Amino acid sequence: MSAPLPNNTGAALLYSKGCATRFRNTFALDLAALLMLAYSLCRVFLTTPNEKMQGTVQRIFYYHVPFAWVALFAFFMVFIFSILYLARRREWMDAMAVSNAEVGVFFCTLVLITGPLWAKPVWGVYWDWDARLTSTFVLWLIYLGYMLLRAFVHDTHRRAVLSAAVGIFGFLDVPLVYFSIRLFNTQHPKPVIAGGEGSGLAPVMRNTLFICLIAITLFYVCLLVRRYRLERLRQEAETLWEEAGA
Amino acid sequence: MRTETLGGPETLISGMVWVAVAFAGMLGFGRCFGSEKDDRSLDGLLLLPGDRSAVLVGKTLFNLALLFAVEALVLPLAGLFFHPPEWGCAILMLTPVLFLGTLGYAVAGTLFAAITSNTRLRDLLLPILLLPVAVPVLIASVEGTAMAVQAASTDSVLVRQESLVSMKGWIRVLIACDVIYIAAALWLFEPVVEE
Amino acid sequence: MHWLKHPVVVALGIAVVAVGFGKLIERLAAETYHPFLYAAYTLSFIAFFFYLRSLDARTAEVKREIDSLRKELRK
Repeated sequence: MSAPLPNNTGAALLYSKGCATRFRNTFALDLAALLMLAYSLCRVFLTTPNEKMQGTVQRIFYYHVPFAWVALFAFFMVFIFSILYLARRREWMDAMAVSNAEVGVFFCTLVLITGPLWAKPVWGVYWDWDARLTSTFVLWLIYLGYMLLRAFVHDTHRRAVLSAAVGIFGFLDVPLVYFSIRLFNTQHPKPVIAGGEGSGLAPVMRNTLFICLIAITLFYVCLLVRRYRLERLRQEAETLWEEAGA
Repeated sequence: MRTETLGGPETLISGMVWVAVAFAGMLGFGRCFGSEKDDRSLDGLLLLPGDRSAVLVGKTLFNLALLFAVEALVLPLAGLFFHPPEWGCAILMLTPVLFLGTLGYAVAGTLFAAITSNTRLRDLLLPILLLPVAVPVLIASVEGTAMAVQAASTDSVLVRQESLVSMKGWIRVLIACDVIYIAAALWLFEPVVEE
Repeated sequence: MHWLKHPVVVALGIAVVAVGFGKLIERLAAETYHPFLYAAYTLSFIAFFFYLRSLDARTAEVKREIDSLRKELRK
């Protein structure tokens, strides 16, 4: 075992050569995520003031937006590790791709749950076929398809290659999905961070959003480490099955 | 950007045409690799000298021909059932949309047929994987077609101009889709069919 | 402590936490209470919990599988 400290950081996770024995001791990371989640909840509910127009329901936004960012980041990671897999063919790259896909689908599902809960009191409807909503839904379907495809290919190598192709094509499709649907119809509020003129958050709200973003990102890394470890163990089990069969 | 005049017969016609094309594609794409996987003739095809992407191009051209045949059948039928004014002119105007949309759909469909032909339950997996991915092409095609039909059938100069501008926007989306799909398919086909 | 993992106990625990969480929001900051806000955060944390649980359960299962395979191979 190497020193425990670098194993607990996200950077070490992304650049490690990757084997099942790494990331065994993730207690510090888990604790950090837990504390940040608790602190972010306190910020959201106790210290951040109500929004003037939408009232208290607007507080859903503090978790909804980080969920969406993290989901998109995870899908981007699927894209990166799929390209890496096709170029270098290391098993751990495939493990990273599938782990990111599953965790991304998880956060994307949460986006699709918290979004309608905000929309009902503010827009008056749970769902509208608006650009952002529809493209998030399409994104969710693409990566659900990615997970489904993996379930129906037996051979380890074939599964990795085929799902890498879907992971790459699916992510290249994301901007097309977004722009085509946006040209079609839009009603979702514009991005409040760096969204151009007239957009912006009060500083206290922006700070709360960033704290929530840090908390959710830490939690994402916790989930990813666990999922990655699981996938590496699965790969180990698969090689053992092959040995037993041979 | 959305043109408010939508919702008339032109939307109905373009929707009908593209539903027919989308379903024909889903049924046809699966066949183009399915039979070859069953009797393993794909392996022989891939052993041939030359670039493997030629196989992809050939398959795509076949699927494209299939979809064009469906369109050649559906468009006159749509004219027969809905009696849109100036139907001949409309067909001429929607040719670029039709061509670009069908091309993008056929390219994506062929690549995903190659991907799913390696799986069990490939006939089920192909539409599940392909439809979400093909959303931009299908939206742009349906909207572009509706705009072309509207431009052809309207009496008002203003509406016609607006529809044409809108149609050009959708054509741009279709060109972007086609370029990205073709590049990605040429790149990904090789690893997908390798043994 | 095996009874802790029984689904009924888990469901009860989640219900207690959910209600408690809602009451806490109601008590601590009455002006921030809204049923949909409460639902969004509670559902998110229930999802966190279940996903973590499923990851741990799946990992334990694969570990058992590997152990038994290793034993098989050693024979």
